[in-house]
Amino acid sequence: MFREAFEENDMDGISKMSLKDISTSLAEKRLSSVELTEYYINKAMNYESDTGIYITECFESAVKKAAEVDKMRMNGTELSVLAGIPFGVKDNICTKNIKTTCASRMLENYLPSYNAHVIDRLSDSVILGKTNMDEFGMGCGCENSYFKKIRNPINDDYVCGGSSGGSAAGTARGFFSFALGSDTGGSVRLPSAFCGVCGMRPTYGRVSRNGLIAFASSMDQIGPIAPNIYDLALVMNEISGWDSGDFTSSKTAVPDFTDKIEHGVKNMKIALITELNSKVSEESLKSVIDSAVCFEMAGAKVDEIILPSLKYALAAYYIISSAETSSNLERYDGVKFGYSSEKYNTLDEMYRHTRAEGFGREVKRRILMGTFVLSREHCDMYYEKALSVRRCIKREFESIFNEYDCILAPASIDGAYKIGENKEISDIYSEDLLNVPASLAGIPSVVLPVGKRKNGMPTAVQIIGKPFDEKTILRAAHALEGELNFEKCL
Amino acid sequence: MIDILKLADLAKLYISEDEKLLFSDDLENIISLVNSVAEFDDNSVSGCSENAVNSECLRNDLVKKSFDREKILENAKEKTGEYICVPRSF
Repeated sequence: MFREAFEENDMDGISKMSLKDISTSLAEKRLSSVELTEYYINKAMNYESDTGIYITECFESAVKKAAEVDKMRMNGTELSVLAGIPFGVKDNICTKNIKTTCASRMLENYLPSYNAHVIDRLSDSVILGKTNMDEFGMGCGCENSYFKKIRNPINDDYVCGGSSGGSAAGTARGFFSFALGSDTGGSVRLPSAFCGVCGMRPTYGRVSRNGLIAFASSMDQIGPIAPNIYDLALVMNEISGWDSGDFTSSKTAVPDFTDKIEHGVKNMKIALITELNSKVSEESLKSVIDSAVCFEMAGAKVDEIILPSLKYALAAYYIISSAETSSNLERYDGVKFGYSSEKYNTLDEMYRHTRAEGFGREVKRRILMGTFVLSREHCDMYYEKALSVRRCIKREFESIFNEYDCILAPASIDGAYKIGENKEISDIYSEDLLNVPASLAGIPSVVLPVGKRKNGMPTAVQIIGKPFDEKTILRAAHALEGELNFEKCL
Repeated sequence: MIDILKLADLAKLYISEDEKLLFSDDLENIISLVNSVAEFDDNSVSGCSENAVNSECLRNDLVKKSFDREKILENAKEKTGEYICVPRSF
């Protein structure tokens, strides 16, 4: 009854609408949340084969929730900008009474008794389902899920990127209006780059981690994925802010991220980091250079600078994140929740078999690595050194930001790689090279697609900013998005 | 040479003979990737503290209603009354 804006069978009208347009249509009652929700459900169900995007579909409860929001709207209840809008939630973000598996056998049947803080903040939006991911967030290609693989929406032969692969691939396929992911060493940014959508890692502390199942707590951060930069800003407005349930969340004032987003980059000072640009393929480098030219044409000043400690960043990231993994994942012992082995006589055997059967290979690898770097013999040589590298990188970023407003960098080494490509572990880990510096420093970074490679897959760049200055990088990204008017890959 | 069995023991992970070889190779590979930190001269950053906790963000201790015990116990494998059951440890 609300759909004045759409022809009877022109459901694709919705797929062409931005989050802002959808929000306006709902607010003006030209579209109902039920209609919108059913559109997305039908889209997912009409695929012949399982796309692998959802681990748990919440279609029935989604329609009920949508109907409730429609009723509230008709009754004149004050609602949020994202009220009634369906979204996908990475399956490591706790959702009350909805399975939250972390794509692991260990949590296959885990039902959280509480919502993550971000889910409560989006309480009048509609959860369509829990999205697939690399087990416990560990992976670059989304090939480490216990349940199923996801293929890249642009070309089935390629990975969709990880670890928030389901959230990025689902956004790219138009399965929902936006999605939540989490980013420890690039897990929002890399899949966004591989799937041709926009993704943001906010400043550490900007968005509460309360209810995000821990991987490496000093770097884990929830972030949004959306089809365009303005939509990312809209989601950031809703999910940002202090939470008493996360002592690392910040009381720094939350601005309106959409305010002045269209003001462009005139007089902005933008840095390019030589060490990052030297690590990528010709096509990835070209996307950075083209973007830099666009910025200059729009009135920004672009300089190339160096970040000397960057060569240690990947090593420091893998040492610190593995150390924190081995500590955080100690809780999975088969007692209070999660998978529990049947093969045991003693309590100790129960722990060992539960963990051996419940965790996948990548998770075990990182637990072993973390145990190694934290052991008495190796702690000084690896863990302490890695913490020093992190401090140094943070300091070098601070010094850059004394002079520059933001940094332009490539978002991936050479775009998406082929599924099952036989790579050494160290080659796979190296995919994170461009993303871990911002993670180590706890600073924000936004990824956006800027073109197409010869193989048809997207190219993307990232814009890194000062702590709590997401506004500037969103403004720069919005300008780039407008300047480039890039050819959509889908 | 990494003593993978010792690491697995510390991490409370049972690993099979096949996995022993697999994880030994994997860890050698990862360690070769991270060995570069050994070259890092950390004199320039010694004495700096890691991300200090912002005291503004510390809250007062307040007694609040806890989670419902029955709800929490729903995720345990075996329980009796108000308690979780585990195998005998001695």
